Amino acid sequence: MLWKKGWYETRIRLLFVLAVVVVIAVLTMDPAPAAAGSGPLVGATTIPAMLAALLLAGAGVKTQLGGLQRSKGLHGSMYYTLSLPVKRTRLFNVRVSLGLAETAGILVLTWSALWLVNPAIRLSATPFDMFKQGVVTFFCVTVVYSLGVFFAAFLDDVYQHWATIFTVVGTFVILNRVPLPASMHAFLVLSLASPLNTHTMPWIAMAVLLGLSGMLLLIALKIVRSLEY
Amino acid sequence: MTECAIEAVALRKSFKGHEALCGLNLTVPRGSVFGFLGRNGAGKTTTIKILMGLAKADHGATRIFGISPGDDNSGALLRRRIGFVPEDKELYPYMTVEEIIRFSRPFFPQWRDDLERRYIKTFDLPPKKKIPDLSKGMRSKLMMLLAIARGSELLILDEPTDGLDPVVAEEVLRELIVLAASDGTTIFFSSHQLAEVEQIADRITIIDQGRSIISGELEDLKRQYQRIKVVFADGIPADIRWAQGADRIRNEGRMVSILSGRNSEEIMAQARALPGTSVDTHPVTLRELFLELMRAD
Repeated sequence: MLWKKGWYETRIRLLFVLAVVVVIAVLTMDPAPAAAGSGPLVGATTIPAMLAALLLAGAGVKTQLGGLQRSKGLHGSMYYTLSLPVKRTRLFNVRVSLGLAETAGILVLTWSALWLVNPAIRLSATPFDMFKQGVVTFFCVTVVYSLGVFFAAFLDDVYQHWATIFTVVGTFVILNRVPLPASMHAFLVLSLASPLNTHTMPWIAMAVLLGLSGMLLLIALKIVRSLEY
Repeated sequence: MTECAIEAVALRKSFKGHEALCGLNLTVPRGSVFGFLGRNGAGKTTTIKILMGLAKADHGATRIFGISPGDDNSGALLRRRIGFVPEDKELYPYMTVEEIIRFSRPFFPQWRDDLERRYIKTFDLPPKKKIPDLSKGMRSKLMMLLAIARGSELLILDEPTDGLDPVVAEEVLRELIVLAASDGTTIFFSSHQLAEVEQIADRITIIDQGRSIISGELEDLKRQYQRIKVVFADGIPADIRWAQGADRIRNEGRMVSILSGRNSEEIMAQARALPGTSVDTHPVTLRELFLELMRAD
């Protein structure tokens, strides 16, 4: 029942995010065939994904936490939810799992749309390349989503959106402006270390991203468990 | 099996330096209908939130059926036995009446289909209507249904009749009495409506500034407290020192009105012994008692 409730509460935002992401993906695509591993191809696949992550982590987390976050906002019904005989841990886990599943769904749908409508992508990368890139992108997106959940656990609605966006954009700017040592290039999984470039999976970077997401979610869960309403 | 449904000992809670609860003690026996009274900001909702595990006391202990409600694991199990109507009576806006009932039912193994059917009928709730389309009164009644149909041993109700018109409020109160009488459900409710508390409660606690100022069986309290009115023929003498037990003393023209919680006989004897007095005693209503205690504070 909690899954169903979560779906009811997120489906409109999910459709909105999906529509925005698909439109942006199609509008920004380059119809000329690109070499596998080239910037345009990586961009065509990662820009929509990061946009989806930002939208979901910013605008979406509010409803995806289903009233567990600190801010009361529109969630007067949180008292009803919290009076149910369900551990906060379970409420949190269901919401985060649903949010990640929705993020993965958006990635699959957007990339499938790109694959279908953009001949350049079909010519430049195999489905397996796209799958590998998809897995890596999902790991990146999970960090963004986890960051949104983390901020939602202790910041009010308005601040949580901006905190997520500023952190992600700030990190992006820093990574682009500050010359990284060569040993760190493996962590640029959406550019230099993308499987579309290297044809290998950046396992270490993925493990770091997974650890980072896990840490953010654990801290958020700890905060949610101790929150007072 | 513990005889207490709720036990709170020396609860303390502060918000940004303001003490909301200052050593509150509370004992709610099983099967009682317990009125929890106090002015706005007295600490009622804070206490209820602590009882429901929505907030944590800075100090002190809370037990419901002998279990701590603040723990994530035991609290979840405990909530199967508790029906809760919060002060903020909001429900999921995307659900209809029948959808939220269908959503809630699986969480409660003791769910009472008979009570569900009965209260849908009694409260005249439209199953197909979306929750935002319900009036405030209807929403409160739906909250009551969702709390009662859980088959709870304990109902915790924060201002259950707040915002209801008198007819609906009366209807809700009547059903609470039926529930307490037929199923032995313990009912703990806060209210500003003193008349309705007097109508259904068998025990009360009045709190002020985070501490209990009076507590006990309502009938005992009403027997214990008396208003003694002493009328002086030639005006009130300036230097009267009333006997112990004269809790609240007000001078009104030539009359002294005394609220006495004990030792009434001695106070009356003292009054009668004064020259030119006529002495009268009156039982106090809960409303009078409450107002007098609040006024003095």
